[in-house]
Amino acid sequence: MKPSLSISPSRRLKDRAARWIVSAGGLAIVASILGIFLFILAEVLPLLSGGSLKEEPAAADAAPLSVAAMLDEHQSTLVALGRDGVVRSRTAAEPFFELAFEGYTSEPVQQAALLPHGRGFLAATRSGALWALLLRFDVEYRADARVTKAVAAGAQPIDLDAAGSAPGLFSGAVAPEGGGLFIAVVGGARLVAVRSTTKENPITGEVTASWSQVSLRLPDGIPAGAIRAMCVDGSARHAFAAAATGEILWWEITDAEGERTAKVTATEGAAPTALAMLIGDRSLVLGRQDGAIETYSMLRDEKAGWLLRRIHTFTPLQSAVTALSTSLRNKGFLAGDQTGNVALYYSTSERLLDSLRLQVGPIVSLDLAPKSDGAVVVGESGIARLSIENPHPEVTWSSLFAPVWYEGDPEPTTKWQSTSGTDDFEPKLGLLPLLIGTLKGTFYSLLLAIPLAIFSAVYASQFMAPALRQIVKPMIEIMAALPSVVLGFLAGLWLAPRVERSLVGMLIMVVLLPASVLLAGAASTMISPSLRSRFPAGVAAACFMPVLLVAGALALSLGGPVEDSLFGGNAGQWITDHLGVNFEQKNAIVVGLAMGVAVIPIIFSIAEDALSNVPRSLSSGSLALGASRWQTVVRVVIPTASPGIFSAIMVGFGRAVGETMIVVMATGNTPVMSWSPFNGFRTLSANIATEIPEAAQGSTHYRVLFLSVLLLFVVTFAANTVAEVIRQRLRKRYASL
Amino acid sequence: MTLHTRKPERGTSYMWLCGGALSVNLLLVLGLLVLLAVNGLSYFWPGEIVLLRKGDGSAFLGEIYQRQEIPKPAGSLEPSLWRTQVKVGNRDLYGFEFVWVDDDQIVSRETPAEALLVERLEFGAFFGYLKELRLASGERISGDDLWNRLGSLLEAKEREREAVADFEAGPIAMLNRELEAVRLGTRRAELRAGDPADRAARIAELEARRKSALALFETRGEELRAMRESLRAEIAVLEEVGGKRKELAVSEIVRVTPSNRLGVSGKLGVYASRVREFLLDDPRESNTEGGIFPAIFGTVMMVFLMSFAVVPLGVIAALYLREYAKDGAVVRAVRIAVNNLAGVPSIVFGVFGLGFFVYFLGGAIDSAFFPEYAPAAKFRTGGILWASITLALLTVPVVIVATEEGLAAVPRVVREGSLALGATKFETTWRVVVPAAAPGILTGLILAMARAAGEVAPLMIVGMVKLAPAMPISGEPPFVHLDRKFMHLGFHIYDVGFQSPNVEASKPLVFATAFLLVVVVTVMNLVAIWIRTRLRRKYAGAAV
Repeated sequence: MKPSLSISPSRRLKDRAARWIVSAGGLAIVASILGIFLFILAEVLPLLSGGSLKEEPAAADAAPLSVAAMLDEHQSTLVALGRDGVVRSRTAAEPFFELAFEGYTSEPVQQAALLPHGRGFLAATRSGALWALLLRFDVEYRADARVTKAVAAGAQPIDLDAAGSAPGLFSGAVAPEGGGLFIAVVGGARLVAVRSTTKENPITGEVTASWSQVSLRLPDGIPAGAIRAMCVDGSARHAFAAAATGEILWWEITDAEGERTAKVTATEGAAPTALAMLIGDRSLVLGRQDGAIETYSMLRDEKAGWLLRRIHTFTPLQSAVTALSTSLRNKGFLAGDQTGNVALYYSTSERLLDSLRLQVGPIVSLDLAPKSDGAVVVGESGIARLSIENPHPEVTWSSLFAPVWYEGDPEPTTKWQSTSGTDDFEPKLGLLPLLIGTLKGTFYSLLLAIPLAIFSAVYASQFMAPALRQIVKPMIEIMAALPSVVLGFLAGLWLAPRVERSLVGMLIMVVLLPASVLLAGAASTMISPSLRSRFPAGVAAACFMPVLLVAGALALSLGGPVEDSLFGGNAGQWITDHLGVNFEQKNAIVVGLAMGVAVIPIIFSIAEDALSNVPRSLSSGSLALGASRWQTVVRVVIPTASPGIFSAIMVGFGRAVGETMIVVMATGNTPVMSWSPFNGFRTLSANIATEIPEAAQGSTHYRVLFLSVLLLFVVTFAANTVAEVIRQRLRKRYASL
Repeated sequence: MTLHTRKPERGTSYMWLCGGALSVNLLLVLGLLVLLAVNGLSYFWPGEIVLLRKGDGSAFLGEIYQRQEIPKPAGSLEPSLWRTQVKVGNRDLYGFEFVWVDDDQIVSRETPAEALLVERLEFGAFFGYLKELRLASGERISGDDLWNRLGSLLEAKEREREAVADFEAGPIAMLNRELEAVRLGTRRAELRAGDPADRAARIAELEARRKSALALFETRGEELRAMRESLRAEIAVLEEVGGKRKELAVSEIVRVTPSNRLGVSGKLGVYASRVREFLLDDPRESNTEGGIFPAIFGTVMMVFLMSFAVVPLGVIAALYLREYAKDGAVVRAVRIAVNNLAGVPSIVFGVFGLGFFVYFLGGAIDSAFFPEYAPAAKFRTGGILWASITLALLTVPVVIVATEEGLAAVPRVVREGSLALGATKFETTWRVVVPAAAPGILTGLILAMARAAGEVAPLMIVGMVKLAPAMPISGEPPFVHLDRKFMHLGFHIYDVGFQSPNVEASKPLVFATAFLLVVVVTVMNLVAIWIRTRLRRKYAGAAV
């Protein structure tokens, strides 16, 4: 037969086009799955990229040798303090020009320090004076272009002692509200703190500064001369110093005059050489003579009060750490050493993001730009600009899945707490509590669903009368179609308070319901055969319904008295008191029940399919050999169909893992790590649903949420693939039997 | 088998347990449906208005909401006490809407015939008595005439309220759109490169349009003010149970129900009127009262948009699997892929939709075609289009599976007959096989629609809002607004039930919404099942 002979070209074209389109469409399904996977993966992958430090080529221009330098928010203006004591500013458009400070005449600078947060410089001049040179960056818009200008905001001589002795080591900070704190070793023997407080007259608006001086007492055995590094926190209330012998000393400095005693924490390692405070003023970065870098967090101990505890240790630099600069955006910092290496670290994740060797000699001063996207490095023999790319420093595999030592905690923990109201918040992106929450929800729902669904499937496929089947199958399908938002609503607002009120009754139900079925069954055998023959086994399920209703009501009414006599009238309270778990109204039992309802029909229909497709020849053979119906089911039908049952459980598992609305609505959504059925949890899916609309596109938080999506995708994909492969094999086996 | 006459065979008790498990499942489904039906349908029924007096002289007028055993302190073995929760309404006067009254403190309980339930546009229900009507003419009506006059007045006011709403939605809204169009046009002209003179002319022209629109706004605004004033001219004086009086503009009253005086037919009338309001009106009081029409409309429109995408995709894929592909590794891979797509959690699709459709595609569309909207977004934000496409991805496996089944049921002889008559494969497929498989496709489509109607998690991410200010279809060009956000029944349940400030007061409404949603989904499923059963029966003998 050659039908093609009679086919006109246009018809043939259409036929061919249709073939192409249909084939393309079929493959598009595979492609779209692959596409979804690849897209999600592409959103996750940047998480793994490290940071990068790059030297900007044009930066080393003809500036006089500097002792310290800083950048504005847009990195368009560089301000440097020269060795001659002159402050110079430079923008992309203009060469260096001098900034004049009122009341300050420049003279050569012996030593300098940066005031954190881009507030200016501290300079000790050759004549022995210590100056705070305050800066401000003003932004204006000229013809749609942004111009940032450095402005000299004032010069303040800091009066360290009456004798006017020159400062040794010094440090200082100006708080955002205006007050400042400056500390210095004076005359090689004393440690002095000078605090300025500004007060604004509410009527005139005039700002007056008052100065107070405090002497900081050093512990015995630590002379002032042994102090190697100092810093002041961003709120200008605490001063920190590190001694050559390893102790970190700190003082809280309030407005009152007088002497302050140091709190001391001993540390181990080489002599400290640099100290800096991370944003948030809760942890301290310490650099040592041998290049070691550690962070210490302040935490409150019940007995010892406030103390410092080492929480992170980083990959060391190659030589003594000489300069540190902490980020204003996150818990990252930049460190520089004696041999010109700079390295970018991130505290929470303990990551060394990138390092670089610069040809500027030993590093003297470092300043991370306010957005942490650049830095200026001052070395003894030159100045360098860095550009920084560092999109996701907060996470590593281990910070996502293992305990992390967060600031202020007594020990490493796994936490999920992605956002907070403040800028200096340390994001806690541990996925473990969410994973455990997901598994917990899945576990409790499968605990209910697996027995109910599989027993039902066995009954429906093996014993049920065909007439009943006509009703049961559509009902189970409707059960599968119930929107999860409705189940979640009922679970959260209707079921949860009832479970709380009659918890004991529900527990009794677990025993009473099967017992009532057995009793009713046994009773039915007592009835005269003639009556029983009208209720064959095939419709037992329908007959049991009223029995179960009565038993359920009985269990609930028994619940009250039993609760009174065993649990003092309030089981929830009893659980909280005696079992040491918090009893919450929206707990895993409620979710297990609601999600169980969602999962039962899925497991049921696949298992029922597998069971009822077991070739009749097998069961007939078994029955013919004298086995009872139940024996046939247990020894022949179930073993044959067991791959199908397993596959049903896998699909049910996949559904429970990814279920979102029920969990969102029926749990408290607190990410706690507990397997107790009496409290709530937060699952990956609920977490995604509630947080992703708020997460900024491309942020670490956004990508970590995509990672949890990827996890859900991979887990359900694996479960479903296994299930499907098993089912296809089983089908073949049935066909061959 | 005649085994009944003998002693029960071994393992019968296990069989009972299996039967018991199945009946538990059936009870769960039935129980859920009954629970929803009872709670959802009773929401509209006007309850008795009860006056409870306590021993201390305080009195409460309202509807009984629930009765509950008072939780006892741990260890207490006293006999249980009960308390009653009464919905007393009058939120504006009391600051709360519900009170608990301990049953042992109630000294009297009556149902005063003249007690009224007044449903208002603001502040929810009012329970109390009507004392007086003050008409615009200054006439004061009280006594027997009150009730007759109120009825006709309420009807008149409702018409007037609609007129004001029409005016707001018509001329006023048109002016607002004109102003927005001018703003966007100006921005567009500014952004576009070109001859500066042209640009200046264009901007000047737009400025003139803006001026005339603003001038018109003044006069229209004046008209609106006058309309609103006359709307509020009549006052009803109400009195709550404690004797406090409340003057309420008659136009603020939605419905006055003298529940205790109504017979069954009267109550049925109120019931019908409330159901009508629920289905056809806009929500009030941050979604806790009024109707859910926008949510119904949004759901329906989204489901239809989704159907446009899902049917061709699903049918083509099924045709490939059944008619075109050679059975082998590829087909197996596609089948597994389809099954996996069905098993992937819906939230994954939502996140994919957000990242790919909204941020990636929407961002590209916005920057290419609608730069003037920046920094706001037109397509780079959740909307009905993205929601529909996301749901189409989610539901396509349902259509594929059902269509495949439909195709498989078409007997081979039919195909061979067509081919033998000289038709090409395409002609056979298109003219013979697909029409024969139409019930299967329809089944798949209905199931997909039902799934989409109930799905919430992905929509939370790609385009739903609590309250959509504008519908996705409207009288303004281009009439269909695919970029708009929309309301959805399922999300409405979540939002009102869990995010609203007054969960207890809105719970009945959520039950009604949930019931509606479940009815829609159940009916769709039953229809699909019915079609499928017929299809199976039709081809039961024919499949070769």
